[in-house]
Amino acid sequence: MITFDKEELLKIAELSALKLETEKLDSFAHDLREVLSYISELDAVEPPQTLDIHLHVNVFREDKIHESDSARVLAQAPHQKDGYFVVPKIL
Amino acid sequence: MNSFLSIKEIKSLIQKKQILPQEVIAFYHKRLKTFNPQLNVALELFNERELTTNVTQGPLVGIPGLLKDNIAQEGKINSCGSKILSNYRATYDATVTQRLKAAGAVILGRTNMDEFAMGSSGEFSAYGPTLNPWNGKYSPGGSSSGSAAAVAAGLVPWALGTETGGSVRQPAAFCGIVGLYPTYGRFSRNGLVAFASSTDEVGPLTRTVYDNALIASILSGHDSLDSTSVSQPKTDFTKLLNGKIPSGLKIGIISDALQSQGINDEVKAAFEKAVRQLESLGATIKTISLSDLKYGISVYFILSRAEAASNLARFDGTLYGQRRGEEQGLSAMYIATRDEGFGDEVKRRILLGNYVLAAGHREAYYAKAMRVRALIREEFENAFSDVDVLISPTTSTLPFRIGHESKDPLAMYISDYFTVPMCIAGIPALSVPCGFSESGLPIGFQFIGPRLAEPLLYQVAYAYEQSTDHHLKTPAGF
Repeated sequence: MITFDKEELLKIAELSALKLETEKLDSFAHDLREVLSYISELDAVEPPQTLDIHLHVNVFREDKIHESDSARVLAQAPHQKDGYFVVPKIL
Repeated sequence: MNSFLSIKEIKSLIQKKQILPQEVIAFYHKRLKTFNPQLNVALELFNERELTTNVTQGPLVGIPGLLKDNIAQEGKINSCGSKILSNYRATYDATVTQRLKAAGAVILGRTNMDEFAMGSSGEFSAYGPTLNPWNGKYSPGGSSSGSAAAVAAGLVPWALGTETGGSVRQPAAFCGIVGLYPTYGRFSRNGLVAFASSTDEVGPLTRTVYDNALIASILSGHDSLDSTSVSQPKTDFTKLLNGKIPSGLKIGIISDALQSQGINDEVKAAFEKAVRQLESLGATIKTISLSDLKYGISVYFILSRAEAASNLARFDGTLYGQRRGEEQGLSAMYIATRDEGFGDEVKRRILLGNYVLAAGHREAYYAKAMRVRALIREEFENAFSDVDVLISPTTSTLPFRIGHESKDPLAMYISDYFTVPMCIAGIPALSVPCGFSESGLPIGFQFIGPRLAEPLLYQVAYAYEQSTDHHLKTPAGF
């Protein structure tokens, strides 16, 4: 049985930088509990350890310099100054 | 001009000088303007004055289309159906956008979608649901809801969707059109906003198999800007479309799909009729059991949520999009921005993703899911040593009623049962119409092949389509 309570939900929400309204806590916890209980079906499968999990191959490209248009990228930031992103003071 | 002409037919009219490209563009622009208020397919229609192309030679000169709003179009809003990016403008064209423009295509706007492509009904868009043109009480499917509905209603001849677990094929089936989930890496994803990077792909939506193969040909070819792009040259997928299936073709029916719980009787009947049709075209039919596919949904739950939680961490009000709560400090800004910017479904997925990735859970969830993923991939590989192509219904049900399934997230997630396994395995699948329910709702089925089997899938699907008339039916009122 999956025990996923409100406290656990709040902790995950904090890690996710999400705020959950109090009135929605129960329904979120319920939805997540349902999904976790569904995926517990995987407990019954034990794939052989010899299976190749990753199909990673190295992809190389030439080490060439490309022009980048940082001014246009910066222009999309909510707050920017002198070519930098501006965020609230942290110190 | 008939609104439901295929790209092939429009091209022929243009070639014979019976219509000018500019007239085609104006015609479809007007149709979109007329019907968008009713269907909500497009989040933006571009100004008619800018709808033109300088390209004079190319496979799509003057052929208008639409792009899903998670694909970058330079200078245009790129909202992904989310409030958090409501003011974000793409600074460059996605590679697929570039290739379509270079082929002469004219893009008329951006289509509606479930927020960040997370949904199966289009109802999780921050900008309201899209309606199914076959019946406005029903969903067109999702997450490529606007793209599929626009093509089905004859508002454009083609549109691009994107798929992570079924988001092209399921709306294609629900709207009675053709949709491709390509081999992983077949089309570039440079300029596609990421949801779950190990299965995200771009796929064309069209009314005919030929048109789909044509758009796919334009998208194909390696792209050095996407490190997951397969090293395949540009490919002409229309080449093998001769109306015949290869002699000795062996097709496998995924029997588990038909025996699964909750499969709709009308979907089953339409699929069985399609099987008989393929048999009459000369295919040898075999029934195959792929018993590990049933774990597809669980594997997808874990991997897609984990990847989404990581990919969506970048939306925090710093680099782009909306920013809230700046005056309360950095952490408060992150939280306020994400709280206001994301809808509930996106939050649900981020939460589950961070839960399965959290210390102490990773081995039990993520690592396990990766191993079962390999098992599913291997099961497909074994099947393809026995048959050339697999088939199954695209969806287990008829289109959802709007406001119905979206209230029960788990039921909606499980509805991806037939589409998710191919995404997990990274293999191509092409959904084509195979009939209608008694109530007039479309039904689709899919051809599934091994990696890079798109040419064969198109060939077989084309032969099937040409021997039926489902693709010639059009929704009333458009």
